[in-house]
Amino acid sequence: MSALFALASDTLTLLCRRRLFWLNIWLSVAVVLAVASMSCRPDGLSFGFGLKSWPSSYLTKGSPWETTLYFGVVRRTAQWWIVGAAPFLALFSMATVLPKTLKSGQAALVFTKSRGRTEVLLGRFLGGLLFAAIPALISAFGLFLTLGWRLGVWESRLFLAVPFALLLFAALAAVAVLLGVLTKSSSTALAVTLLFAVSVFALQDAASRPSPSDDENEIKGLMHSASGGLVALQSFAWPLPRTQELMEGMDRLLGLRSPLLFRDLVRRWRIGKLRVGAAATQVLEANQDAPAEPLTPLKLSEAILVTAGFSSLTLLAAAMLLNRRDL
Amino acid sequence: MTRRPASPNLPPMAALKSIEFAIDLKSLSKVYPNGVQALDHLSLRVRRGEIYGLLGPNGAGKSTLIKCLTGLVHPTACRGSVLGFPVGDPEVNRLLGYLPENASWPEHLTAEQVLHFAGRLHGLVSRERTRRVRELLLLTGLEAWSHDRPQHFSKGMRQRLGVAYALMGNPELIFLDEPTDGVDPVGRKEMRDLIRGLKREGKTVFVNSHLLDELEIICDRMAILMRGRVVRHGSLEELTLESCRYEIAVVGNLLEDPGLLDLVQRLGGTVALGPEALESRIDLPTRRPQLVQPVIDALRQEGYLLLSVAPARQSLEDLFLEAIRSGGQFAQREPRD
Ligand SMILES: Nc1ncnc2c1ncn2[C@@H]1O[C@H](COP(=O)(O)OP(=O)(O)O)[C@@H](O)[C@H]1O
Ligand SMILES: [Mg+2]
Repeated sequence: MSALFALASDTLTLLCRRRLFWLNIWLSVAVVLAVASMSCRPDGLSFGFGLKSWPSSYLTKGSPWETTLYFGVVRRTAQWWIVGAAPFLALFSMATVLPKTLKSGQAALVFTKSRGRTEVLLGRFLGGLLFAAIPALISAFGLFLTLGWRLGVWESRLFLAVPFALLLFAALAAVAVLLGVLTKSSSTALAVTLLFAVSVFALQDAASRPSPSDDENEIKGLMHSASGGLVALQSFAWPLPRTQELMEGMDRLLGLRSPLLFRDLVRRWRIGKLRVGAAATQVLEANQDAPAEPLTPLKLSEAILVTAGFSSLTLLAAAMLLNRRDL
Repeated sequence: MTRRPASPNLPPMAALKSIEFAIDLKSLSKVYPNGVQALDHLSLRVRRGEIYGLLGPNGAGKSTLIKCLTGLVHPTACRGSVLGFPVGDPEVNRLLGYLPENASWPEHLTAEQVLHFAGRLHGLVSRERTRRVRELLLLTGLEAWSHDRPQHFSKGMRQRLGVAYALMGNPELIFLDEPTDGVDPVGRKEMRDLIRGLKREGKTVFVNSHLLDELEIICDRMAILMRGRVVRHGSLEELTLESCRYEIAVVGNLLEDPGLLDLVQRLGGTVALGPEALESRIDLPTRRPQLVQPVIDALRQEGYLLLSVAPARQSLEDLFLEAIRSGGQFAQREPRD
């Protein structure tokens, strides 16, 4: 047990000494600051702590639109940054860990001091999880402070974004570990994992769409209209990490219910005469709309279990492979 | 990994005391996936508390043997045990120390942190760990560099750090793979002293080397490995005794004395002339003094002046070169112990 902890903390130190780590931290801070720099004044909206202001007749201090704006932005930041994008960045560091450990000069040092190879694998993996948790925690804490400061709403459920982010990261990291054991090459492991992650996001996104809409691209439309295409797609995507449902589920658990629709707020957005908001909602609509089947607690639990199961099985495969090979 | 039947549930030290051989290999073979047969039905026994040297040219399979014994490489077939545990059992790891051939130290840690890491892997608590780290830094003479990163170390310092790392868990059996390769003479001497110190503490040390003189000086017993097989083994005494000869030096040219030449040749010996044919040297391939007497008698009868009669041992180097020349064609003998 103490060896597992030693390996995890060593992995964390190793990863935190990288320049990529600081990029991740600074990006998290920048994202939070960008959100926090927004404020509503009696005469409208201002960005960059008052650097740039947009006069508005409705988006003013104390109006329901103010709450709508903040809730909407914070929810999407939690969803897209903490759960969606930050794990990708952490993956860049994580993918190099196993291949480095398996290089013969290092393997000889580490593996001969442990009770088994699985222990080393798990220690490295857990260290990676801790590593990914840092920017997630910073972002979540930043958003928590922002909401409290700007609106006086102290929503501790924002920290729920962290376990969701870790759940997704764990799935991707497990794939990176497996590929690391398989290929012993950092770049191959990283490239293939990224490819996998992007495909899973796209696949789950496609599988969660209820029906083809006219303005969607041709390929998706074709896939859906083919007889049983959607069913086939959904059963293919079933055992894969449930990116879509997890992001969606986290958003629901946050419970930041705004008095008005964020979508309507965006739709109203104009720059001069340009109706930017209306155009933007058109494009984003698909992502924002609730799926045909609402995400029930049961469905969310299933998504969590399937994703966790995917990670465990992938790790198990990696451990079996590692135990078989010569170091 | 397939766990073999549980290791004896005795307290480790008590169980260990009853073991005579730290390493007891009856037959170990390793064929790498690329088809290279690195070890070929190798058998070997290392007594507890001795310094055992494994000598062999590059590519003989020395490192592969250590990797098999430390569980890094899976043998293709194996009968044998390490400290009473089946070969490859990860449970034995806590009793082993290993200095790998080409240790690459983590870039994010200083020498001291590396040792702390090893201590944590061994499950040492903070207090004990700090004490042990200081002890080992002192032992290996690295105190002054404890806050430097090992990448900046000289080869000798890196090897000493490797020994400290290997000794962290106070192991019973220590494997050193080419500990003095690329190390300067002073460093070599320090390494030898370190190894002797380990023996005094009752540890078993298994040293791999392609450097003959190193092993000659420190090892109690040794084996010569060729193409994955042990071709000779025993103490330095035994190894060189097997090839003991008698040398007789006399004044005069024996090549001009057919009678004596005939006698020497009947005994399987040879005669060589010294400089300017003033002296002759008789070389008799025997280690029994009785067989030398007839030659001495004959020489005295003929009135030759005897300069010296002495047993001459083949050096380990000669033996090693002979082993290499014969391409590992020696039959492998069973361990005698
Ligand atoms: N990982 C490996 N894969 C394939 N062949 C190997 C591997 N490691 C060593 N060998 C081969 O096994 C033989 C023994 O190598 P090694 O044990 O390193 O010898 P030594 O340590 O005596 O120099 C060599 O022919 C080497 O090329
Ligand atoms: Mg070697």
